[in-house]
Amino acid sequence: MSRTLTELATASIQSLLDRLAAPATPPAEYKHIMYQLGFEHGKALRDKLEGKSVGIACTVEDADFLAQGIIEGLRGSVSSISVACFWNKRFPGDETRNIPDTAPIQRKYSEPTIKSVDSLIVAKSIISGACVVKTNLTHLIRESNPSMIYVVAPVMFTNAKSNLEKEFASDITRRFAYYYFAQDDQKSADNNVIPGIGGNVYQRLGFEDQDDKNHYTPELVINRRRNLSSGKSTSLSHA
Amino acid sequence: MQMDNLELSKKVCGLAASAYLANKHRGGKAGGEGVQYENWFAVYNAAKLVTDTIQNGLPAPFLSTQTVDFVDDFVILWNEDSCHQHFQLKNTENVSWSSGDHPIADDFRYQKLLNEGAGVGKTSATLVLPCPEKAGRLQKSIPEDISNYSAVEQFAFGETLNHLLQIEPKLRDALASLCVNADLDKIERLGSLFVGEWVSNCGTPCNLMDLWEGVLRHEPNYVRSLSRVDILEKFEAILMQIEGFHYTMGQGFFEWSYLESDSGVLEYSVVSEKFFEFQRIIVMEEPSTFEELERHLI
Repeated sequence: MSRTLTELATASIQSLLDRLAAPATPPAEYKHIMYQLGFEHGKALRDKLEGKSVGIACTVEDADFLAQGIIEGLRGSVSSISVACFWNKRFPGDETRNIPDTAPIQRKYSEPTIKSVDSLIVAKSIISGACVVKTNLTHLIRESNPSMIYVVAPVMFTNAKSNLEKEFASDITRRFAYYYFAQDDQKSADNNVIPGIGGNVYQRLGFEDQDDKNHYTPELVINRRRNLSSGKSTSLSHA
Repeated sequence: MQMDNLELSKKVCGLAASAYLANKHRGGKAGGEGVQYENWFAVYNAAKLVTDTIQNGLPAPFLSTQTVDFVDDFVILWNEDSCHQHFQLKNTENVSWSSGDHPIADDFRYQKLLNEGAGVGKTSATLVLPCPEKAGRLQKSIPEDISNYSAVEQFAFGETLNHLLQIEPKLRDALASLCVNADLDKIERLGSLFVGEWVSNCGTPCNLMDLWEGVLRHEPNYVRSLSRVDILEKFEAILMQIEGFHYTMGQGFFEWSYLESDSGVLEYSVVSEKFFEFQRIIVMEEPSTFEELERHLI
């Protein structure tokens, strides 16, 4: 197995990635590391997104950790942040028989302002087959038209970019920019990237399985929804 | 019938054409983009035909591919050989009616002869390709002698089903007409089930009804239905008092929304045992706010 680090991966980020991949890291610490990695991603994007209205799309399992970290890392830079959170359920296909993997959206939280953002961040703890990312991104770009789409993940599998880009026409993929700290090129027998993020993210975060994580509502969603319904500005808002 | 086609072709098309047919069938499909293109086109037709036939109470045709035919990429076989619709798919740059060792026009001619020899009532042959301009050009230049049973159809190619659904409205609409809503993730899920059933049947003609029943056996399939739902007493009253919460069951699934921000579809149909269990839990727990309700909306 081999891991390639990107120029974004400072020594402290490398240390976070190592702790994330370590089997002994307990869920509470794992969540905090994921938050810290999100924070580093947010910081790395600050200059690019200065003064822009930004949308962040994430999955339920990433919302309170990776996505919340990105939001905090962007604080003081962007003009506003809108959030969309998706509860997906993955169904594996069969690549050898051209049957696609699918990840239908069972539920979503989507702030109305995400339809008019300048830039969209699609955040995922790890991108491998890109099935969940393509599903949620497809959904969002049918109702919005961001000029830039930042695909953000602490770790990506070696062919994740090509997997993602074949899901879209070139007028969409030319807006993609990738931000990740490490790229891995090997998977285990149970299809987890090695070292990746230390195995199955649901289990590492303390969920039993994908059905279990789909019964969870992130604090990020609960808090932003309360602000939205009470008329308070949610857009990070003004970090 | 299929093996008879080789013998029949010797008689009605000649020995050279018959040898070509045998060789073509023996060669099979190499895989790759060509096969993917055929799969997507088969799924499009299967979905459209479910609406046109099964859902209108009409007899379902057989669908096949890789049969012993000159035009064999995709074939729709209507009841008792009253009509065979053959499709030749070309996802390549250079396509013409007359070029190559085995021109497409010749395949169409031989197919017509073969079907007539087999007693097929009506034959149609369609060339399918992704480029609209090329399709238009070839439509205008169909050789005169095959023009009364030949056509050209444009159908986009996408490397993945998700990509294709974004660029080919014919496929999207055919699946959407069967689906609980027009969300691409639901349509893609339904489309993937069609692909799975189709490739499982590849090589042998399959009845559309069998294929459709195969799709319906999967969960979630998001297939729209107009089934009557048994609703528990209190269930609706509990949900209606949650301010900002709305739902519908009109398409056979429980679709809900909350204010402007939250929405979803339960993955099981409203006639399923799981939906009855969902109702039972709601009645038992009596949530009075969305925050009390939302963990059950999966």
